[in-house]
Amino acid sequence: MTIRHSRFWHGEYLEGEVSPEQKTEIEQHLQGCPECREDLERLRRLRVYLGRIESPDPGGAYFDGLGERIAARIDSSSVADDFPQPARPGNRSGEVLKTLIGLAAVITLLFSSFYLSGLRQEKDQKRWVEKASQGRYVQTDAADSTVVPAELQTGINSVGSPSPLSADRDSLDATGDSGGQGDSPQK
Amino acid sequence: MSDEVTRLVTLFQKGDRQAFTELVKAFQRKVYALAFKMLLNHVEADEVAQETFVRVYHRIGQLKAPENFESFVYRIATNYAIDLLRRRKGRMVAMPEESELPGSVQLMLSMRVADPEKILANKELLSAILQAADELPPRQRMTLILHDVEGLSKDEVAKIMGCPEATVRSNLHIARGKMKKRLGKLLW
Repeated sequence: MTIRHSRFWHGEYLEGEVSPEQKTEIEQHLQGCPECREDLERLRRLRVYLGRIESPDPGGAYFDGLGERIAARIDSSSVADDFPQPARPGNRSGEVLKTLIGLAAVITLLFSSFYLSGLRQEKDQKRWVEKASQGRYVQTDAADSTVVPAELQTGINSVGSPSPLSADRDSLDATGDSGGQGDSPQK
Repeated sequence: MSDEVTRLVTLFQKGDRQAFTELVKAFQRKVYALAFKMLLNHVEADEVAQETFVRVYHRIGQLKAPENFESFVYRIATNYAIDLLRRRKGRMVAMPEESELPGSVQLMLSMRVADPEKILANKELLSAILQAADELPPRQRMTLILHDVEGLSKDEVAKIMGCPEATVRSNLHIARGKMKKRLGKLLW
C-alpha cells in the first residue's frame, strides 16, 4: 500500500467504514510509516474539534417570532405568485447582451457589404482605367464587368443615359490623366 | 419523533397549515444552526431559516416520501446557503467578533476547561478552524459541516447535497486535507 493510498482511506478507517482486509492492510502500512501515523492522528484531532463545535443559540425570543415572520413571508410570496415574476437581474442583463451582440452583428454586416461593394467598384474603375490607358478595351458599364473591344464601341454610349463612369472618364480626359491612348466612347 | 414528523408532513400535504407550523417549530433550530455554521453570521442564518421554510411551504408537493422530510428541508437550506456564499464571493465578510453577535449567538468548542489559558487557546483554535473552513469552496465546506460537525452519515449528506456518495467521500477527503494543511501545528 502506498502513502497516498493509505491516506485516502484514513477517514473511512477512523469511521470504521473499511473492509477487514483493508483495515489489516492499512494497519500494516501504519506500522512502518511514521508520516501516515502522524497524518492519521491529525485527522483524528480535526474530527474531534469539528465535532465539538456547538450550535449557536440566538435566544428563545428569536425562535418564538420566527414562525410568524415565516408566515408573513409566505402570505406575501403567495400574493406575488399570482403575478408574473419580474425578470431576474441576471436574465435582464443577458437579454441586453444578446440585443447588443445582434446589433453589432448587423452593423458589421452592413459595414462589410458597403466596404466590399466599394472595393469592387474601385477595382472595376481601376481595371477600366488600365484598359483604357492601353487603348484596347472600353468598359461599357461600371456595373457590368463585360468588356468590349474599343473598335466595336462606336455609338454604344451615345444612345440612352451615359454610364456612371462616363463622368469620371470625362474628368480624367479633361485633366489629361488618362494616359492619352484610349478613346472615350463619348468622343 | 420520526413518526410524528411523517404524520405532520402528511397532514401538511393535505393542506393543514397548523401542521406546517408544528414542523417549523420542530426544525427551526436545526436549520438555523446549520445555516449559522455555514455562513457564520446571524443575519444570513436568519435569512436562510426564513427562506428555507417558505420554500418548503411552496414545494411540499414535490416531496414524494414524507419520511424524507428532514433531508428535504436540509437540502433546501444547504442549497440556499451555498447560493448566498456564492453571491458573497468577491466581497469580504468579516469573521464575527463575539461583541457583534446578538445575545449568545456564537460558535464555541465544547471543551470543559477551567484554566483561562486553555480557554484562550480554545478560542484561538475555534477561530483558526472557522477561518480554515471559510476558505473552502462552498460544496466542500457544506459537506464537511454536514458530516463532521453535524454528524450526518455520508448517505444522508449525499441525499441532501444531491450527489453520489463517492462525491461526498471525495469532497470530504479534499476538505479535510486542506483543513489539516491550514491548521498546521494547531492540530498538535
